[in-house]
Amino acid sequence: MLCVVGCLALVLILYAFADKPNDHKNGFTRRVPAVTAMFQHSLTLKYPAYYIAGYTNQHIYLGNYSASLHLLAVNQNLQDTQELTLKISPEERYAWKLTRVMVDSPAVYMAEGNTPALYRGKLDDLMMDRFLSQSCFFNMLQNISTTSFISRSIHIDSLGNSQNILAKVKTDSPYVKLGKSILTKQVDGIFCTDGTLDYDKQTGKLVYLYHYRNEFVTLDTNLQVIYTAHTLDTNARAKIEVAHMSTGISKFSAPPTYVNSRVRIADNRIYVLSSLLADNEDRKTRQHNEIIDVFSLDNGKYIYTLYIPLKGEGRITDFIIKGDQLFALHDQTLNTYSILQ
Amino acid sequence: MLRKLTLETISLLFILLFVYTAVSKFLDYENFRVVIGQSPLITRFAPILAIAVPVAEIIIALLLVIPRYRRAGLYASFAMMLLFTTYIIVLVTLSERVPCSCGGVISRMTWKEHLYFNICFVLLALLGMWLHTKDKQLVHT
Repeated sequence: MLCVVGCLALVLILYAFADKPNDHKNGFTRRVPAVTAMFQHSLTLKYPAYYIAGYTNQHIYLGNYSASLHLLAVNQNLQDTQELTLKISPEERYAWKLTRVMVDSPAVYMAEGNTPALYRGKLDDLMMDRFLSQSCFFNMLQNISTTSFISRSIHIDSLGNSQNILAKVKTDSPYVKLGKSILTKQVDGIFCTDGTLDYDKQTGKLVYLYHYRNEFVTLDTNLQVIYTAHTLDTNARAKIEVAHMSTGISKFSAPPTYVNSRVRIADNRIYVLSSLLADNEDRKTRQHNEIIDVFSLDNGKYIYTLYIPLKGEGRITDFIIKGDQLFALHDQTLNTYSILQ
Repeated sequence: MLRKLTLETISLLFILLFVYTAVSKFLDYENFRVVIGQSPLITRFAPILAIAVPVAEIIIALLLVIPRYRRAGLYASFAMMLLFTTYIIVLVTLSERVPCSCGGVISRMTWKEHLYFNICFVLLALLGMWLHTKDKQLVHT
């Protein structure tokens, strides 16, 4: 009995000393009342581990982290699904767990940055052929035209310091152009610069949003910075601790303060999926909603906040905005919401 | 006889569990020390716990091996497993992203599997403690 009480007490003491996310005031406010998205349709997918690969006027395409050649096409009201399989020569060797599929109709790309390997095909026949063999290593890739991509790669300088940088990869010479000093190092260069990237076809602009600090960078397709802007919260510097181990691998040695998880651009606006609660929000808000802050693509100014009500399927892993519809992926569930204001 | 056999099996299971996890933690010590810090519950105590946890596991295993201390060993095993179990429950409810540093193949379990696995061992320890007390009573009478 004493044992039981002792154990419970010990864990409770640990709990009392723990840093709980969103427990203390985060020091910023959101514009209230927020706009709440209207839930429309839901579709439970057959497998877990999907991500959004792209969309056309009629369909949304989902790729799968655990099946590199699998592609699922879903129509706008989630009524009709179609399972597709990319066709690739059996001799091709690539790290299938790292591949990502990108759909940019009528083309479809498959990229894997550790080999590196890049394949291109057409949506109507799905025959994938090797493409852009003059590429560089990358850990993120975004296609911006039929002949060029923006990659995030690890650059090692003459002193041996490694850091994430953005680069432009093209089919013609000079195949790779480095965009130095776009991503800025704060702690270790790799983790502290981690983030998400999205490209807006309409305006030809890219936004890179950091995960661990309140900052995003808007660029043009030549990797020229248009402006740097800030998300609402106060984390100007990444609050992370990184340990470098003798095996050459680096790992977090304390729980990182995760600020922003995903950026998407649509209709001249930047949508930022945030992890932090504002001081003027109820503590339960993030238990029942996903919070998206909306910024202007022209100048990075805050416009309003969007709440996406959760239906018990877990947090949003990825989302896109298409007209006045928001498609939210929760690992194995795809939901649509109306975000008409 | 059956009681004796059950008690031996339970002790053996705990010895295997604790020695296995402690050794795998020590073998991968550098990694263990870093990953244990990722848990929001124990960030501040990570350097001490990184040593204390595997050492405690070895000590409990030793207690179980030595017949004189088996009773203490069983109580300690029960306490340890209960501690891990409450820790898991609190951690899962507390944090959105949960790291695991249990050691060896045990790290591959999902949180649900972890919970069931731990509860099984808590019950085993309870059974062991009960059998051990019975054993003692028989000897005395």
